[in-house]
Amino acid sequence: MRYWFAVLCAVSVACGTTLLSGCGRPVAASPNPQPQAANEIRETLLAGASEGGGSQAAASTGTGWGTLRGTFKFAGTPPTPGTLDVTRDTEVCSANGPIRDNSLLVGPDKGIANVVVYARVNRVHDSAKPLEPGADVEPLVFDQKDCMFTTHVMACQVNQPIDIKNSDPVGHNTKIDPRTGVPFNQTVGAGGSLGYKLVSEEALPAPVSCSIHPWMQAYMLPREDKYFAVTTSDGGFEIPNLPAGEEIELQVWHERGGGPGGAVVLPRKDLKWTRKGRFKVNLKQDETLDLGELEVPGSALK
Amino acid sequence: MRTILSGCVRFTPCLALVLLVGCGQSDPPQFTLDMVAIAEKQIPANQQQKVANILEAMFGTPDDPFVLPETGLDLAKLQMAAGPVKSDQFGHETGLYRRHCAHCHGTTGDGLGPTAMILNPYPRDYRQGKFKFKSTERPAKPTDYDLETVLRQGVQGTAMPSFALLPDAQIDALVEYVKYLSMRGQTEIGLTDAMADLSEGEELPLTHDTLVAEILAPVAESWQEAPDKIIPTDGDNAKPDMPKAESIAAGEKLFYSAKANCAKCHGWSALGDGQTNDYDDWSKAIHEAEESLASDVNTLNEAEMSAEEREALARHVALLSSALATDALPPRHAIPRNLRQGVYRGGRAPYDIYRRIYAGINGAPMPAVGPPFPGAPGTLTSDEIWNLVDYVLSLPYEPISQPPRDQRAVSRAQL
Ligand code: HEC
Repeated sequence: MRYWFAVLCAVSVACGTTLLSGCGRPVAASPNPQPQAANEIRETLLAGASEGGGSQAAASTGTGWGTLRGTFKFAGTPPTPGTLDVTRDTEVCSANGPIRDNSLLVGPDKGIANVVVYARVNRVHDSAKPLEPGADVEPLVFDQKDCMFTTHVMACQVNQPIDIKNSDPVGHNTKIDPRTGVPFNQTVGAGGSLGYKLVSEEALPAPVSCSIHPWMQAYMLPREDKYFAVTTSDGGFEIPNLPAGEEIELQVWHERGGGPGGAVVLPRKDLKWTRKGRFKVNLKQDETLDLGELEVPGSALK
Repeated sequence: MRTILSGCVRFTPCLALVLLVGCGQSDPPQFTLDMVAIAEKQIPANQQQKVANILEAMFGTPDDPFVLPETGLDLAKLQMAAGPVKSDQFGHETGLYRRHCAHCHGTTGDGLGPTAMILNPYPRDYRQGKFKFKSTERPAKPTDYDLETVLRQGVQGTAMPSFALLPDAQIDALVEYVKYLSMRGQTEIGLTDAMADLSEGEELPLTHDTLVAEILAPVAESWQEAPDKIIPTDGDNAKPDMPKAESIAAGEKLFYSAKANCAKCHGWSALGDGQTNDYDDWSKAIHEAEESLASDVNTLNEAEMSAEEREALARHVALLSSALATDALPPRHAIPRNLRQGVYRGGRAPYDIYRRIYAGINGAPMPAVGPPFPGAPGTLTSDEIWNLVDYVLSLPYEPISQPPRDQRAVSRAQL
């Protein structure tokens, strides 16, 4: 909060000086629409759907499949995780000790857990195909225990049934806020469970929270295809059966990622890493490409 | 303090403009983009310009609205609500939105009108397409009738007044205009999300397929299907035939149980003093933007990075802080309702309360206990929800909800 004041003061001063001297401090100002450009767009939109319709997915150029692997490591000395401020239902929530802050988990070998890596591809292997809306697959369990979500970061396919459970003797309410899909905020009684599904793909993981216990936080990422992985406690990930022979783009996200929406931005020009936290690889057929250790500097995380 | 500061920041540019342009001639009002979201998503200036142009192509301007057929909106109604406040020699009035609504809800429907800051609760920001008080399933849009009811009855316990005295045609026009602003706002979110999703060097195609079929149409359809999403209060959901006292007792038991959880937020005395430090979705977005800014400032001050990275981060910090100062209201906690006062924002009829408990309050921490999807099992049965309705409606009449007699006499004397 204090920073906010500091920044606000700095900016107010900056604005003041802009008015006086026209200095170059950037200020967020909504652009004025350009009527002529707007008119041209309107003409196109009024003309209706183009012949053929559908979005023009870029054509695939490669053949075959490959596997991508890597390990995210914290560069330098990782911060020691603190504990969360448990203010309600302490007799239940703190029964098994203080609740650890799970937002940045770094293992003994400095591996970073809960980094999500997912691909943006034009060609999908049979084993990674999207799920049909009524697909008959085992539900994934998303549980709440000791006033924590037992899965901190969950990636799954669109239409994957999810069993939202509450294994605590106190009630929770599970609030899931996807950007494009259907939001959810349901009371899950003590020992109860409810069925849920994420029905559309998200570009970034959706936050999951509990209003009764505001320290509870988790994330869910629904993707159409199965090209995603969440790093384990050693920081490792592996995505099999990716399209080979063509350049593919991968998004990297972490709850504390410093880029837009939690994107993890690494200084890796060799992988064409962008400010949106994306990098590119070109796999050879049947290759397992191991990116080795991907070092994450402290400045890349919030 | 903060209010004053951000107020200054907000008005300084206006003042400067007045000084430069002089009085008398003012530019026609413009719809503005959500600069906090744009700063957070780090949308570059050329893409911001594109978003503004696309939105003008799709929706026109505050003086000259326009809609594509896919929206299903009625342009004649919008024209009656839009534009400057005017009435012709036949008493035909236009500019209704600016006359009755814009000072609180803002020209863009962003809830940032000049009086917004001093109101509690803040006026609704329509741009996310989330409405709290309605007859439909939690994530669904309100029906026209829901919006009309809000306009006719006002929202009890808030600054939103009743417009019951307006002619029917004017109410209709305003309902249409609220839907229009909401569709525009949600389309803006879709467009900035699409921009944020682009890869390096990729451009958003300015085609019907992308802009209308993928972004606008799903928003418009969610409005069109609202009437199919009404939560029934008859048939399977009808009120059970149960003696009132028995139903109240059953509701009371549920209210304090670990199954329904009501007391966790509304408090063990139902005074709304349980869980009081969460936010509704609007304030939460601003709260999170502030936290993210604070941590960026921290990184800027403390972390090691290249000069190039430092410059980019400093620029981001400047843009986000300037957007927060001009385009956002200070976040406020969502306080669970004090249920002993008998003041219900979403209507006091038993079926209103039933729907509020069944679906919770969209955009607010208040969760649903009915089925998450029609046909799915919920946390409580319909009968149990009706028990809670009876209990909630009995709370203001419990003796402890009434002020002591002598206190009442004093307050009357003071009047
Ligand atoms: C997670 C916290 C939470 C829980 C659990 C909760 N509420 Fe609420 N409730 C709220 C908040 C916050 C509001 C005010 C929301 C707003 O208007 O933005 C509210 C508002 C209400 C209202 C007022 C509606 C109106 O029209 O003004 C009623 C009635 C209500 N709750 C009943 C219940 C009942 C019954 C339960 C148990 C089934 C319950 N609540 C559980 C947080 C909660």
